[in-house]
Amino acid sequence: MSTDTAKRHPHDVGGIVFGLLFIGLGVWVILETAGMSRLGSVFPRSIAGAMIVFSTLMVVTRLIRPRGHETPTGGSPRRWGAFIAVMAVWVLLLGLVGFFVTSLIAFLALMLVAQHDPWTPRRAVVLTIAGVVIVGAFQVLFTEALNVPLPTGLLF
Amino acid sequence: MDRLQYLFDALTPFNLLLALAGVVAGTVIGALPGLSATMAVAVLVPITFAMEPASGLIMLGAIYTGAIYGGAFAAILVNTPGTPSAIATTFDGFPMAKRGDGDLAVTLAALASVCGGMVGAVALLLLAPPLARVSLAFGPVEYFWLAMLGLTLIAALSEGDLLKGLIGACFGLLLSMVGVAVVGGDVRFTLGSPYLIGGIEVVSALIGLYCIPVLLDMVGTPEAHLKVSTAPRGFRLKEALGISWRYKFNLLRSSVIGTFVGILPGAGGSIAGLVAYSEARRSSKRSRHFGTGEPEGVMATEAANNATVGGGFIPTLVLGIPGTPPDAVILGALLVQGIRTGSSLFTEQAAISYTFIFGLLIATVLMLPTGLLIGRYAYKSIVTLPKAILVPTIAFMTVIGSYAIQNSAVDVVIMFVLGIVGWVLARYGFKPSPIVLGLVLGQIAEQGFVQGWLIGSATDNRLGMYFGRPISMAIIAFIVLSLFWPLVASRFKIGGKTGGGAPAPDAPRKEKPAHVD
Repeated sequence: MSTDTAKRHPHDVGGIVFGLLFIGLGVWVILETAGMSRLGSVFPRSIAGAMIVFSTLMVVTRLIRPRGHETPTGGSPRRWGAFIAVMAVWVLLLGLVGFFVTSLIAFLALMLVAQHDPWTPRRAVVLTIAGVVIVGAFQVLFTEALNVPLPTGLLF
Repeated sequence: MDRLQYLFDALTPFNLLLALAGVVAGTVIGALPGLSATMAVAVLVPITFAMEPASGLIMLGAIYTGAIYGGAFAAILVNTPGTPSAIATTFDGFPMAKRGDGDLAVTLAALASVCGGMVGAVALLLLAPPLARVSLAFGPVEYFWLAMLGLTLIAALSEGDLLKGLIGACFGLLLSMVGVAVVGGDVRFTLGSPYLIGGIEVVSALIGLYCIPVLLDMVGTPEAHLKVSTAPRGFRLKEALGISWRYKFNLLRSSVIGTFVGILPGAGGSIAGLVAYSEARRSSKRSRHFGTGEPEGVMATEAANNATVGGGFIPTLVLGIPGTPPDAVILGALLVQGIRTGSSLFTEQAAISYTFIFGLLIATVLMLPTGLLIGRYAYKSIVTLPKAILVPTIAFMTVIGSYAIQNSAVDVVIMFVLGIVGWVLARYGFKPSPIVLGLVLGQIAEQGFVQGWLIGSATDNRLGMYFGRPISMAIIAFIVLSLFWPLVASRFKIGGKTGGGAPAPDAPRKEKPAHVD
C-alpha cells in the first residue's frame, strides 16, 4: 500500500557500486574454491566467473555511457529503521524468550511502526484486541492443527 | 478410468474446503493493493506442509488463482491494480466504475478470470503429460541448459535491466551453493558457521525475498486512504454473460495468449495481461473506445492473467522450471515435500499431479461465486484494512511460516536477512525474481553441470558434451535469442509498447515500484 514515487538519477551510481561488490563476491567465491574438490568447485567457479563478467560489463558500460537510474523515493527512513530493529530483535529472541511472548510484543510494536495516522482510543483498543486474537489463533493453528512445536523459551 | 478416480479424489470434502479457503484467502490478499499473488502464495505456503502433497498443491493453486483474480477488484473500483497482473484492468475497469458500471465490470472480470483459468488448467491437463514423456529425452546437461534458459528468460522478461537480472540470477545460484555440495560433498561458503552447513532453506529464503521488501514499502509510506468510486450494487450476471458471449473470441484468444505467456519461464500475469489487452484493442471493431470503459479490455486482461496460472504450471511440473514467479514458490514447496518434477510426476505420482490439476479446475470454478460475493459484500472492508493490522499480520506470518518449515529459528534469521538484502538490491534495480529462480534452480543446474562435466571428462569431449547434443543446441539457441531479443526487436522495430497506450483518462495510481505478480 505504499505510494512510492521514483526519482531519476543521471548516473546509476548504485548499480556501479553493487557491480563492484558483486565482482568482489565473485573473486571471494573463486578464492574459496581453492581448497575444495574438483567436483565441488567446478560449478561455483563457473558461476562466479559469469557473475564477474556480467558485473564488469555493467560497470564498464555505465562508466563509458552513463545511464540513468530510477530509485524509489518517499519512504520514511525512521520507520524503516524501526521496522528492521523490531524484526531483528524478534527473530533473534524468539527461541530464547518464547515464540508467543516475542510475537505478541513484536506485533504490537509493528502496529505502532506501521500506523501513520493519529491514534484514537477506539482504534488502539480494537487493533490491540485484533493483534492478540491473530497471534493466538495462529499459535493454536500451528501447534495444534499443524503439529509445529513452536519454541516456548524462558516464558511462553 | 484412473483420471475419473483422480477427479473424485479432488472432490473430497477436505479438498473442496481447501480449494474454497485458498480462493477466498487469495482473493482477499490479491484485492489488497500492494500485495502480489507471489506474496500471497509465499506467505501461506508453510500451512500446506502438513497436508498430503495433492491437497497442499490444490490449496496453493487456489490461492494463486484467487489472488490473480482478486487484483481486479482494486483495479476496477479504486483505479489501483491489486496485483501487477491487473494493471491493464484499470484502463477500462475504472472508467466503467466511474460511469456506474463497477458491478458489471466486477462480474465481467469474474467470468473472464474463470474462462481464462479453465483454459489454462485444461491446457495443463492436456499438454503436461505428453510433454513430460518428451522430457525423458533430456539428460543432465539438458537440464542444466534448461535451468540457464529459465534464468535468462526471467532476466530478460522481468522488469528492469538485463545485466542486473543476470547478475541477480548468478547471485541466487551462489546462494544455492551454501552448505554441503550436492555433488562432491564439500562444505562450501558457510563462513565457518555450523548453522549454514544445511544450506539456505529455499522456501524461507523466498518468503524473505518476496515479503520483507513489501512490508518495508508499506511501513515507509502513509496510508493511501483508497476510496471506492462506486460500491457494487448487484451482480448483473445475465448482462455480463451476454457480453461475454458476444466477445467469446476475445475471451478465447486472451486465454490462449495467457496460457502461452505463462509457459514462458519468468513471464507472468502482468505481461500476459498487457499483451492480451493490446491484441484485443488491435483486433476490436471498437478499438477507439478502449481506455474509456470498454468491457472487452477488462475481459481480455482478466482472462489472460488467470490463464497464466495453468500455463505456468506446465514447465513447473514437467521440467522443474517455474513458468511464473508464484510457480517458483510452489516449486520450492514441492522440493520441501520431496516431490520430483518430470515424467515420474505423471506416472508413478500421477495421483498427486492429476488430483491437483482437477483441484485447480474446481478452484477456478469456485472463483465465480466467491469473487462475486466478496466484490458485493466484503470488498469495501478489505480495501480499507489499516496498515497497522496488515503489516504486523504479514510479518507474523513470514516469521511463523519460515520457522515451521524445518522447526528452525535459523531459517527465520536467514529469511529476514535475505529479505533486507533483497529490499536494498531491489532499490538499485536488482529484482527479486532472478535471485529466487537462481536459488530454486541451483541444485538442478549444478547436478546437470557437474554430471555433464564428469561424462565429458571421461570421454575426453567436454565441449561436445555441453554444446554438441541436439536438444542442448536448441535450448542454447533459445538462450541466445532471449539474450539478444531486445537488440533484435529494436533493430527491426518489432513489438512496440505492449501496454496498448490507451490508459484510462485517470491514469492508475502507481502503488509501488513494480513487484512480481
